[in-house]
Amino acid sequence: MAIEQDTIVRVLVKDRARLLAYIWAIVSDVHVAEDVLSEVTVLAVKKREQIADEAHLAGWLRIAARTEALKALRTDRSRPTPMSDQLIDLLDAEWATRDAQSSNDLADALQICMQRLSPRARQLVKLRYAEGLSGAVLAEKLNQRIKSIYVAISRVHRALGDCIRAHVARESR
Amino acid sequence: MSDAVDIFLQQAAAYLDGDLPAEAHEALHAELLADPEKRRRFVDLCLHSAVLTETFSHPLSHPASPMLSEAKRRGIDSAPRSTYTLSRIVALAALIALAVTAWFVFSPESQTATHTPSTPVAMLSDHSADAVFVGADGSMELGSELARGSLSLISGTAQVMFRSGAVVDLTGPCSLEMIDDNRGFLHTGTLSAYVPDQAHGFTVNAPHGVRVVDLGTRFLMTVDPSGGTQLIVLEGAVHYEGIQPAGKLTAGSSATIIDGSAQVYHPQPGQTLALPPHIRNPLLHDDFETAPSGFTFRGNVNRMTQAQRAWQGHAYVGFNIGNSDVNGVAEQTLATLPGMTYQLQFELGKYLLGEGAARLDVDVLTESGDTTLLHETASVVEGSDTMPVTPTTFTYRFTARGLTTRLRLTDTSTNHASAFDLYLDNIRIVPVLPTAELTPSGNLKN
Repeated sequence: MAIEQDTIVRVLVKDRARLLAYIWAIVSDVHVAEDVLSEVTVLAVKKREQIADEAHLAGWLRIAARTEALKALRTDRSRPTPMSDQLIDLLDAEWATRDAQSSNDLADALQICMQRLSPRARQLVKLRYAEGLSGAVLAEKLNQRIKSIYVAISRVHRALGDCIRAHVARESR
Repeated sequence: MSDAVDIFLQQAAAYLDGDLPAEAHEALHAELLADPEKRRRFVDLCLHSAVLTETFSHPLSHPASPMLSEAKRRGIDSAPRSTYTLSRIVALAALIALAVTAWFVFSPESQTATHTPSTPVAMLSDHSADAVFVGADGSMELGSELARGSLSLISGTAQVMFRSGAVVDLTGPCSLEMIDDNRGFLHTGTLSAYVPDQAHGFTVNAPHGVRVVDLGTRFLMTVDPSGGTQLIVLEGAVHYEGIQPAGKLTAGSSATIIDGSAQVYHPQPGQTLALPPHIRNPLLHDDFETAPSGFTFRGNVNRMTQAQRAWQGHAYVGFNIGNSDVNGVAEQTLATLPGMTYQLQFELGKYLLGEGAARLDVDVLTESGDTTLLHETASVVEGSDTMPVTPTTFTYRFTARGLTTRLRLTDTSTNHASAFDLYLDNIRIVPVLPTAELTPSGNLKN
């Protein structure tokens, strides 16, 4: 029996951040990732007869996302060498460990952890993600070296990652 | 924690931004292949970046209209990557629009199904971080299915997608009753509706028997506390019914419906949008001739009254006067219509010939300041040492998402030698149709 279309739409809306992240990891460009995500959305609804249920859909979406992401890279010859199948397989295993956590829980944890950042770090996150400024553009805007920007961004992400892991561990006790 | 992790995260963050040189990609791939801890960090980075992008942006955008889709296909999306771009709005909107299109195309029964009270008729397809709902049954998380009944939004914004494919953006305070999968009742507040072709006939009821039947379009609708209804059609056409006489509104027209009768406003020749007189149009028009200005000034910026320097009248706003710090900020909060597109236009001049660009960062923000609706930098390189200087006109466009919107102008001139001043005059914001051509300068069509 095929999955209901509204289940597909609901899952795609609810989990679009996770799927976007998966595609973004492969294509290294958020705009390309969003285009690929749109393609995957169309495919999921068109091919719904092949998808049994919500559990099947999660795996199906990841395979489709991987295929479409690599296809997008192949069509743009200016792109650097894509990840090997071996590397994507290894990353898939890592992605699978995050499937149990809902996107909403992660968003909540991120909001809590954001409050623990310094005002300057929060401002950086806001510029980077609210305004969509890449590191290179941020460097120009803030009149800093690009390396300094990426040092700051990496520290913010490390702090957020550590905080979220601790938060999730506390919540799961 | 080692420095190696920091260095790896720097490389990985640059990779996601597209800032990592091509030759460094293989080295990054090799590190990921070799080290499970780095793979864990990399997946965290991707996941957190995507969630932050989604959380902050909350586009609440209308699903891609034919105009937007066409613009993207033709590569008209010329907004810089550094801003909250049209391409992002289009991509996210397309996610919903395409899904709904396919949903509809592949599921003809979805229109004719009968519904029990608990049958989902819509889905919560987006909401802002500060959205507060009351009286909602069950979860109000993204993707939650909504059964028939009332949805009251106290504050923030939310987007509801009906099963028919019609999408409405709500701005709190607002109360919408979902009647079935292609019909709602706006009891109070403001909604912005996008109705794709397949949802033709989408109906919004209003107090006193008023019904607005959509014919495949985009419109704004407000019900005030006394039960009066205001309707503005941005694309396509709608019927309004339940009053005598009923009528049809096409794009650019508007109506106020009070006490069973409609006052209709149609665009005059040369106009693209006609609004009821109580809606501010222009939203802002300040030539600074009269004090005080509606702007709040911080830092090195002030209203100036030196007639020989003004290119119009005797007053203007001067940034960096007296060659002190470049830190002037002019800010103003405006009462906007959620879902309405506005055109912002102003004139800038650079006085004196010093090297560097006279630059003004233009930011339009939601009331909370969390979301940027517009971020641009207006720049004038060529200065003049004769008075008055010749001004340059800048024109931008944004779509409001709430009842209030913040406009912030920040002097970011590259004025290291403090060798010039930046003058601002004739700032004007007018509501426009989203499909109207951007007017570069001169007379505005609306």
